[in-house]
Amino acid sequence: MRIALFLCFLSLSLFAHKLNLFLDYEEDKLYIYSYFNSGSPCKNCKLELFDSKQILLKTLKTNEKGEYFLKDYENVTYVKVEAIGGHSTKGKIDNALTEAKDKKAKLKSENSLLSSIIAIALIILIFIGLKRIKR
Amino acid sequence: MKKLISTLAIAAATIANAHFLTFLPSTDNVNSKEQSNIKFDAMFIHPFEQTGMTMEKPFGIYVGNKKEELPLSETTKFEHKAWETSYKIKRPGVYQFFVQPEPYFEPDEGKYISHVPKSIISAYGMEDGWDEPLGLKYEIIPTTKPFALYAGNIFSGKVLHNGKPASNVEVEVELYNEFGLKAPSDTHITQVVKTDENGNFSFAMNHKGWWGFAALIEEGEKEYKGKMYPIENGALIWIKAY
Repeated sequence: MRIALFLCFLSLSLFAHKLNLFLDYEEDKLYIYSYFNSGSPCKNCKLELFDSKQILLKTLKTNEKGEYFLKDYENVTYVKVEAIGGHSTKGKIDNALTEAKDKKAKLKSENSLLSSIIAIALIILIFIGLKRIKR
Repeated sequence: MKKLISTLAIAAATIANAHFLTFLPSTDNVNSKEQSNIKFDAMFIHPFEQTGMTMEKPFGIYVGNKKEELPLSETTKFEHKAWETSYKIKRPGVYQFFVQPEPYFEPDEGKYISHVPKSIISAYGMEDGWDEPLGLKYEIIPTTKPFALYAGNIFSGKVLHNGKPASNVEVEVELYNEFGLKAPSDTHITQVVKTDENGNFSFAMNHKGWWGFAALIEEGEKEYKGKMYPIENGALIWIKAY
């Protein structure tokens, strides 16, 4: 009985310090914000990034504001934050973010294709220029 | 004659029941991006009876203490002019919204009515700040977390007048009766509690839905057609019981 009551109390206290995770797409970065429902940020908390198969990609730390701005998030599907006291929360990048992520990846591939075309064009121009100088 | 008597009886019943500036958001809890574009309805109605009155364009609907003014669109609610707006919540937090209306002259009561309702929304699990005053002249500060209530819970609050607790003030309470409930008598439509010496009041909500609390303080005068009339100032809050 005492154990049951203690467990009930424990679960209540766990919820009273619920850790939250907010993900957003901001200025070409994945904005990660972790905070307790009291409004306190999860400072210097362990931050783990996972791919779609739940394979750990990277371990990082939130800043003093409980935030992290992630530049390279193309392969990230899940984000997990763990506080020192043992509270943790895990979130999946939602559809809106996935769209933004895909857009960024597409833009990146388009940019690389465009760069390649420009580079080839420049080489051709230089080659033509040199040929004319030779004449 | 019979028709005249019945018309008078209906009119008397309408006059007897309280009108509330009803200010309802699409949700009081934002948990996903799909819910984050909050839509608000502002209407001058009898919430329990679900009958409307005309609401003239308010001075504004604001976020926080006039931190931002929201765009207004005219609409129709309960066959009368009403107003709507929306606000996109982008970050976790506790957001407070309020309406500053134009005082409305009620000839039947011989007074002006100026109700300032507010609504408190929690976004993405953030709960800090629901008990912070906006700094309105007449304001209800919840002393129960306002966005986590069940039917049957007690809602308590503190009435402030110029930032100080207002004692012995009547707080009218009505359910936004979208359920078709029938009151056992006319006196059951608007329930009333009074604040104690510290401005506190409590009320047990016996049904799910939106509940309006209106603390009424008569203060000041305003002219209407060459004659001065008192102003009934209402500090209102709308909360939802689940």
